[in-house]
Amino acid sequence: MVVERQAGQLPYAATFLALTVVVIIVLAGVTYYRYAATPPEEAIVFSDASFFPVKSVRLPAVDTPGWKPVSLPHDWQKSGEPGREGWYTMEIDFKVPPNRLWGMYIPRVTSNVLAYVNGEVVGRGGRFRDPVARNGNRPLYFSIPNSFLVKGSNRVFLRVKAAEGKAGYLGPVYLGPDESLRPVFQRFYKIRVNVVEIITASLVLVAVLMLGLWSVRRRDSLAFWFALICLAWAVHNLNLLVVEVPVSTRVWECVRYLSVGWFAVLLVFFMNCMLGLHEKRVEYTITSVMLTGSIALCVIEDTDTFFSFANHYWLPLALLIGSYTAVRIPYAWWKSWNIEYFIAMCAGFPILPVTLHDWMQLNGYISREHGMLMQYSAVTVLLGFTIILLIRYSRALNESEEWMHTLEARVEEKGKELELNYQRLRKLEQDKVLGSERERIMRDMHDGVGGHLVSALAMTESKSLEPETFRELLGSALMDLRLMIDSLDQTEGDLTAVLGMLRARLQPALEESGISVRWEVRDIPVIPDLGPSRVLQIMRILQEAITNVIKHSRADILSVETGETADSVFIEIRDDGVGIPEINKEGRGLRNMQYRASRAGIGFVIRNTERGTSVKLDVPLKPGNPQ
Amino acid sequence: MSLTGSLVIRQAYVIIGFFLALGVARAAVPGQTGGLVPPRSIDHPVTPGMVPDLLFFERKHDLKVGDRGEDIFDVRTSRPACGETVLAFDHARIIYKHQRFGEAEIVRSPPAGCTASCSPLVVRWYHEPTGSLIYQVHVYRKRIAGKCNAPP
Repeated sequence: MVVERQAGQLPYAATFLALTVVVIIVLAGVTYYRYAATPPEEAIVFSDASFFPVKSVRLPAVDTPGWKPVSLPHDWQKSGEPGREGWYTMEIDFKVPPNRLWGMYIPRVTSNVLAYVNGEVVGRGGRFRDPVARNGNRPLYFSIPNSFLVKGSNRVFLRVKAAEGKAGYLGPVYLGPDESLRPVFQRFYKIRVNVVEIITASLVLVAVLMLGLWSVRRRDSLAFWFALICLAWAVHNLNLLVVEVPVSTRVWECVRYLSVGWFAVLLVFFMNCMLGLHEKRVEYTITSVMLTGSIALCVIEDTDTFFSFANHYWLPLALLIGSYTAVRIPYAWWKSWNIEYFIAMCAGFPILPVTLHDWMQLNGYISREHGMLMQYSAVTVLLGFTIILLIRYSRALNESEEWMHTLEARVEEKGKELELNYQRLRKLEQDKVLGSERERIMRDMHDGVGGHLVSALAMTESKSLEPETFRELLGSALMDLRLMIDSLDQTEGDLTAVLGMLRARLQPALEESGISVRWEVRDIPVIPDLGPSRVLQIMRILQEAITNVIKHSRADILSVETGETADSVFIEIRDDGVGIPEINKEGRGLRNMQYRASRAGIGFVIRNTERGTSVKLDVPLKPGNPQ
Repeated sequence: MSLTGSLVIRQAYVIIGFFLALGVARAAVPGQTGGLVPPRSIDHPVTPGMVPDLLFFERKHDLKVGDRGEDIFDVRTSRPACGETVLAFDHARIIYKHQRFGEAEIVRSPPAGCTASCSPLVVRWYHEPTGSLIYQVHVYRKRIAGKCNAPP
């Protein structure tokens, strides 16, 4: 046994609830059935009749030899009637003629009946030629106009014909006023026909739903087996609902017997799936036996042999297989205390007694008055399976909610970890930026201010200290320091602001030199990655260029112009001086400017123009690769 | 409500109740002539002793195949002697206890005021097959006093 007893105690409340529900359903069903099957009190009941076992389509004469008295219900199987057809007659002597619509109510007949009152046909249950109409499960009611019934003697004739392979049967026949008899018939009709119709429709619906569920979740084979069980059951129920079968009796009966047998086989598969049993040997054995039986059912030619085999071998075999599940499920429940098994056990329990009842009735061991009952046990089965599905659904929902909570907690935990890591990274990044910025400032100071101060120091240590040169050196160092400080300001990519700061720094020197400045700075786009390092490089280049103009160009006018092209902005410094002598083009100052431009990732062009010199810087708008 | 007011209302109830009881008692007092017995008509089936002095008969017909016929009832009473009062026939009514597809009617009734010489009361009835009838005949009577011979 695979199943194991679950931890904890027997779920008493759920067990009690499931038991109570099943008991209530069974009791309610039995009570209503008994109420619906109660014969009408205010009617004339024919419990005695004369029977004439002859195959005749004409009304037989009452004085013909061969009539014999019988009591109703009359079971031909018990009384050993040889044929499938016969006539009944009953007589009633009215002292007063009825003055209203009357009716004839026949709760049970196998299989079809044709009714006459005083020689007039009042009703029939359907087709009389084979395959004869099958009314075994449905009560019949025929209206009798009041003119048909007279004061004095009234004679009723009933022609009864049984379907192939069945013994004829006629239960008590009721005669009475329509207003009191019809409600009794309708009540019984509802429970014998309408309820079975609803059950069958529900079975088909559930089968379709389960197949749908299985098609999207193939591993859910429980749904698949249950769908097949429902379909087999629905096919079996068709036998109770279809009156005039569209195929031969033999084919119809074959399908019916197969549906019952395979219903039992499917029940085993369903059970094994639900209990998680892997009993391949049992499954193969049952399938092989039933396959052999199915082939036998299909190939047996003789009708009597067919029905004998079906009733004495096939159905008992199905009953035996069904009993196997009826033992295994309770055993599994006892071992595991699984509430699902208990529900399945309670829901499936009614199948066994009603199937046994039907089989005994079919073989004449008990009265046929109540008809087949197996179809009603589908109610508890459907209900039970629905409850099992609900339990599973609710359990899955709870588990998914728990998983969701766990997942949320883990996500939150991971989020906090990520946040912490991010903060650490940010701190590291800041430290790195600070370090690099510190390194840059130190490098710039070393390259700029440091260089000037070293030169000044060297000058003081030499004997040739020229005060003018010394002053220039210190001025350059101070200017460089100022530029460095200016470059640290937040310019946010605005090159015109950088030029503004530079102008403020160089303005005294320009005024002192007497060069007039043309400031032609227009609005230019913002440079996205114009950091302090690049700003400083640009300022140093421009400062160098302007200083050169002041010192060497002998120019009168210096113009500063900005503009833009498709992918860059430019700054151009022009003068109207003497230009650069060829010998100075490879000078240290120009190399230094080119070096700075390449480090800052900007274009640098210096050239002599018709009237002086032009220094042009091209700053790309898209982020470049400053070195 | 004050105690005085409550007592006044209670006294009024007592007085009204007294006169009502007196009226009912006068209607039912034997020995008086002229009033019907019972004084008011009864529209429902009765059981013996349920209504004092009501003479009633009950018949049941429930043959499954239908039935019809006549029921005859003797409503005679003794002739009152001088100084004696008796209940003489006045009229009769049919009350159904159960009625299904059937009917009953009084087809012959003795004259009002008859005593010993009353002819039988005849009720004709029928019911259809599966029908049934249970009916009661309620006989209403009047109290009459015997006549005394005049002194010679």
